[in-house]
Amino acid sequence: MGKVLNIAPVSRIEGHAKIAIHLGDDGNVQDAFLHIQSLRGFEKFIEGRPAEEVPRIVNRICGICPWMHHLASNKAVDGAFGVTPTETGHKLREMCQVMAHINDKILHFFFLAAPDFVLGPDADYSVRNVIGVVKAAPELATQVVKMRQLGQMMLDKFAGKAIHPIAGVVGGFAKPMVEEERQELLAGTRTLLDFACFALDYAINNVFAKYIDVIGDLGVIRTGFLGTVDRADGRSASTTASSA
Amino acid sequence: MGVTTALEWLGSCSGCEIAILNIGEALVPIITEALDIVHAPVLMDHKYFGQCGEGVTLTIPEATVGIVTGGVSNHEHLEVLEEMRAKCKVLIALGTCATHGGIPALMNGQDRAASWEEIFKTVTTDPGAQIPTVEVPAPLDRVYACDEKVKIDMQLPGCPPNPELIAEVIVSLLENRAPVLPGKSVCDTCPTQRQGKGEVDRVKRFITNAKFTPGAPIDEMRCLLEQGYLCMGPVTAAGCAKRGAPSCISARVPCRGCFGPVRKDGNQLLDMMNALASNGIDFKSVVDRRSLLRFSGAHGLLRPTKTSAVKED
Repeated sequence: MGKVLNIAPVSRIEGHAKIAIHLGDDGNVQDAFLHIQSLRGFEKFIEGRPAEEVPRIVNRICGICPWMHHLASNKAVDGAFGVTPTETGHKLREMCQVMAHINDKILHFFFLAAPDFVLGPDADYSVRNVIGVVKAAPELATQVVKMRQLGQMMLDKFAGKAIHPIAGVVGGFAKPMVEEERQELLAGTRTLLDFACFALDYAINNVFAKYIDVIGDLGVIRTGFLGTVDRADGRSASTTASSA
Repeated sequence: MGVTTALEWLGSCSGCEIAILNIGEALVPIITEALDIVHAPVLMDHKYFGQCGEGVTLTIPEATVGIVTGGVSNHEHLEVLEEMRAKCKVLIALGTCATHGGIPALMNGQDRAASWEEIFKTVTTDPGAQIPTVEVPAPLDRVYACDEKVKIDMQLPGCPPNPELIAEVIVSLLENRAPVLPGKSVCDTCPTQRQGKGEVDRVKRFITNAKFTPGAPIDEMRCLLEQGYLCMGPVTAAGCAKRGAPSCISARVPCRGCFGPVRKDGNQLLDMMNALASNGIDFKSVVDRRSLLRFSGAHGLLRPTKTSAVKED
């Protein structure tokens, strides 16, 4: 029996995982496993709870993407109750989901993935992280932190909680949007749109350009995955609010 | 160099880690100057068994401050928590899972063996699927809060915790003083109108929205408990209020107790029953009473019933 290399924890992701690489007596890789280490049992302990409470429980599946779990559960509960959300309720849910995406992308690209690009894949692990990025590019990092905070606090203020949301309720949303809130969100969104354009240019010029050869063949797989689209207009975030 | 700090997560969701990031701009000097982070799975790549996985003993570097999130539900969590305790001078339990069990401790109300059978071997799993026994950590008998397993020096609940309070805990440690944390209940930080007892004799489920004037300040809305909704503000630790009102109340939604009990060793179920009874509200009108321990089911408070949860009232 050869050696087993345990790469644990798998880092810079949400989730608890370990990679086990089994080596043969000749030192070559014989087998490799990705082990998911933790089971919490959501599928079991929501049984018997009042349905309208479930969207406030399953949001805890993930603290990075709680809105997706919250809203998917809202949708399921709507179905169970046989209700169609009001058009306003549907739009508010969709807006929150999209706003959650903004922060998610900033977090993923700049906080979690950027160290591999900004400091390079060969940098030592002790500096190849967001703290290293902040030290290597302090102006950019400060801007990133500001933009992420802006997006996160827009959502937090409008919907009460950005992490582990509660504002999606059976049949719609817990509160309407008033004009003052709309104006404030619009101004913030414009700032974030400008930042998104900047980030795309930055990625194209300063990140992908450097590694284009590697990107071309490292980990490339052909897949039949089509993504999730709906019949109406092909956008995954939109469903038909047929109550209108 | 800053104060060496190690972060770890056990049975958790990473919401606490995101709450740390939500400290915002003040975070930049904290993580680059005040603290010297030596281990943090969510942010950096330090590995337990050496960077190439050749080691055999789970090892976390020594640190002055340790921050641990999540509850303890399997043998790996326990091993990591014990290693954190051994290597860190000051150990902080961050978030309600770490302090009171949190949502995953709802599992404590279920029969674990039967649940595991159901989760791993149902009609939706592959034919012949078995509960994994090799390589993945075995579960403990129930979900524990961190202080049930090791000595914890400081506790900061919240699901997620308030970023301002996380910053206060870190800064207070650096300044060698006690942190200033709220010691009251959610109701004590809630500006809604309370007009007195007597009108409500039963609580209802939150399947219709609260009554309020859109756009009007929260202090013009009537207390949600007085509107007849179950709201756990009276028995929940304060700390979530960020803009002059508790978070859920600011979205016009009743509190479900995510900061845990007001006193560290309080019992949110019993305390809420008492609060309802003393206000002349029939506690039997609460649907799914055990759910009042939704965030604080560790410390032996939530246990399996003989009948399954499905048959509960």
